[in-house]
Amino acid sequence: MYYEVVGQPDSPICDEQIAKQVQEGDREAFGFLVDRYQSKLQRYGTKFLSRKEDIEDIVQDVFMSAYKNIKSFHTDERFSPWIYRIAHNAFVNGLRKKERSPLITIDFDTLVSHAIYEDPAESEREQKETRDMLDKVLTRINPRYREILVLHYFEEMPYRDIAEVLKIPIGTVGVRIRRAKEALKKILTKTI
Amino acid sequence: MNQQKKPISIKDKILTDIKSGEITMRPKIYFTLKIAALIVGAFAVVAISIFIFNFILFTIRISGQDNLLGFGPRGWEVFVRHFPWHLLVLDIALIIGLQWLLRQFKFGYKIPILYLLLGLLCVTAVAGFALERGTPFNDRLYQMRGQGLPSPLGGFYDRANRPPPLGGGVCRCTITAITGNILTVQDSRSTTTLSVILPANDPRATTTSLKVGDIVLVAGDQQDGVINAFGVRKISPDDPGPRRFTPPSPR
Repeated sequence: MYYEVVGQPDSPICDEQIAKQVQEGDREAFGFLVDRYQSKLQRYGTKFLSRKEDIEDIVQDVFMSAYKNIKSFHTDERFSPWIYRIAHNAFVNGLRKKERSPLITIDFDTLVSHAIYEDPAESEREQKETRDMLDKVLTRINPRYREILVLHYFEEMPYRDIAEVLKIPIGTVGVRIRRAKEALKKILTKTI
Repeated sequence: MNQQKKPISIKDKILTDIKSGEITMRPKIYFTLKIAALIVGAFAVVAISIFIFNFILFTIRISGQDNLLGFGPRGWEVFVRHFPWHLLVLDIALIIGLQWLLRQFKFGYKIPILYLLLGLLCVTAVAGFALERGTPFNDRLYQMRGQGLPSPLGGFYDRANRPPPLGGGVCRCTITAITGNILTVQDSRSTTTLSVILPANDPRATTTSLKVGDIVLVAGDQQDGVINAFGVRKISPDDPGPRRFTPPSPR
């Protein structure tokens, strides 16, 4: 469903414009953002948590938090990485509670810079293969790798958006995806 | 009739909460103030970090510890042992905190952590060095130390010229007698009188420039009241030592 510009029923407006309207006091407009992102965030949540109720609770919290903080969103930037960033934090916290993983870990990939390399040659078939592999062993992958693979292969985010969601240098995104794929293959080899 | 209740959707629940005022938007000023607080916090940490680095250099200069670097490898060893490591650790902890603060901003997380840390270390080290060696900042505060410097600044400068701990292979002493190449000195940390045998192989370690009443920094092995010195330097109690880059005096 598209939110339409008043007087121009066939012209869908972008998330950023809707966010701007919400900021200006159009509370109803927030419902359109919920419509656009609810299923996406729920799907994103399934890659972190298994219980449907937990995911729904967190998604609801994400929208509440997004509404409370919407005035911190700059409408000249993209809305999608902004809301995914909120969702990412919420799901990672949810996962930590479940798995009791340490709160602070050192991420060596973010220490130094890496060349930005987004693999353009990765075909649709290869992407589908990785998605299928990922679906099979998702819960067994280190959460750090899980989140980046999910964002790239399921949410189909470009590196630039992933860098914004995870707050890491863009060069680190490529390196981490490569490592994550290696880890994924290792797990699959062991399983077979 | 058994009517089944339709579950409320997330959208309806949120819109209801928004309309009832249960969820409210934070005003723009909240985020502006938050960013301002982060910026002020970051600047405060930078200033404190520069001050600490500058103070480390000052305390080394004023306590005469920098003379140890001229005493050869053993002098370096003693220098490292008496280095104010706790201040350096505090400074590094502040820089790590500052790095975390800067990562809250977009430009902060775009830079790899190691580069950001090294950059901050370099900036604070260079600024601290310039403050200590290029300005009379520390000397003025040191002179004011007894006149009610605000805490914790007062505490810093009261302890700036602390002598090295006893038994650490280095002492700051006052000469009470000179006999040949043997000095009789009084340790500033106690009332103990010690004999200092000057190193035979150091042409600069002679008694010719020394007189009774001079304060000297002695590094050596102490046993039964005798120090076999491997380095002796005269230090002045009034002059905390030359700053290497003295700013030009106004004409």
